[in-house]
Amino acid sequence: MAPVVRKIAEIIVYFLMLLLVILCFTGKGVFIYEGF
Amino acid sequence: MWYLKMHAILALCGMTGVLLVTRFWPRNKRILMLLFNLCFLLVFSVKLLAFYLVYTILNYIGYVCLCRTETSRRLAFAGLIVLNVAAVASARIYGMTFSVQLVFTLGLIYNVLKVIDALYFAYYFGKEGRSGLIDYANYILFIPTFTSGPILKFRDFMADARQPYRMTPELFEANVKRIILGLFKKVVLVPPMWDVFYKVLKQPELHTHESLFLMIWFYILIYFDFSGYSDIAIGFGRMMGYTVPENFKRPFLSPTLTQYWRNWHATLGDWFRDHLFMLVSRRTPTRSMAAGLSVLIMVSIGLWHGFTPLYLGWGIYHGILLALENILQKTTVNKRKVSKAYFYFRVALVQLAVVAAVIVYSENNETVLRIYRGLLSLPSFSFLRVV
Repeated sequence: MAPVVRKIAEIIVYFLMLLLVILCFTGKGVFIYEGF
Repeated sequence: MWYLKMHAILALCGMTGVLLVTRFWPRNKRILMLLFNLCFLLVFSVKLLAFYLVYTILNYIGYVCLCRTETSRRLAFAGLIVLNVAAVASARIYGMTFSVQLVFTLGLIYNVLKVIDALYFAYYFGKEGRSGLIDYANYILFIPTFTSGPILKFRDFMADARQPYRMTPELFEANVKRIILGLFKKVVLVPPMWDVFYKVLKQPELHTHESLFLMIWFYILIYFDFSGYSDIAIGFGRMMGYTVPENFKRPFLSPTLTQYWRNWHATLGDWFRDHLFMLVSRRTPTRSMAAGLSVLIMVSIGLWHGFTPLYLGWGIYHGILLALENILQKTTVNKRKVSKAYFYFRVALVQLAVVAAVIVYSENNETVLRIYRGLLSLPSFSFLRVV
């Protein structure tokens, strides 16, 4: 049971992360190392 | 990040999809990868593609000559390295005054490290170390790690190139999660962190607490920024059938600076350690030699980041600390053999040493000096202020 619950929690967390990425995506990521 | 745009991410996902559906023609990985790498550069900039085509072919000729040549191998090896370093160094100095940023912003200083690694391979393995142009070009132009690493090892890349494309459900899941995590760091966490950084930096005068905050904040920011990028690169790289090494291996839990530099931007530290050490000596170094090499390696890493007095100072600072660890034989701490309190005390010391200099990575010298000046700007210490 525990592995199933863990998997479901993992899916929810990653799904939320992906959702936030899509919502916040501007395409203007400034990468600090690019200036080197 | 230049390819952190929706069409670029979709292209990388598309390439993964193409590789996934061609499992019945598994050896096509190399050709498909080359076509993808070239098309990707072409879409980004025709000039960039032209430059990298010439750069790759010229270096491949040098690499093949070094593999084949029987005489004056050492001279050819040294000459090719000097040529590459001199070209990048002079272009870098030139680029400080004139606008040749395009090539630099797109990874030349990383790619020159890969070229040199291939030359080392050619020098030590000779004819046995020779690889074809397709694999060599893929190694140099590998899109997931093209701009900022992790720095691939020639030997590992060529070993992967010989393997047919394979993807298990477990690997697929791990890589997708890795890419999402990296995007989350880069897209969701980092931009608001920059906003906070600039908001504090905009204060007309910085004081000790603000400077301290900026230094610590910047350290966390740069970690999320760079490790996020590395997560995306590792995820996509592995999706495409190549082993991309880890760049960050829990650096915040390193009890010595020596261990720290094996865990933070690990592929860069490893590259300089391996190649400079092999250049100087292949025997186990004495304590004093290890100390001297530490200074040389950190100064080289500093200058690799930028030809400025601040980066030189950063390199000397870290080099001296590493040299002291070598001389005092304090390069490692075994967590199992010391108390928890001592272990975490050492971890805190290392983080303190890193935070003291990490702000050098920020955008310009003026900002760095302003933050350092702000450190001495408590009312009670105002007499110590430099400016």
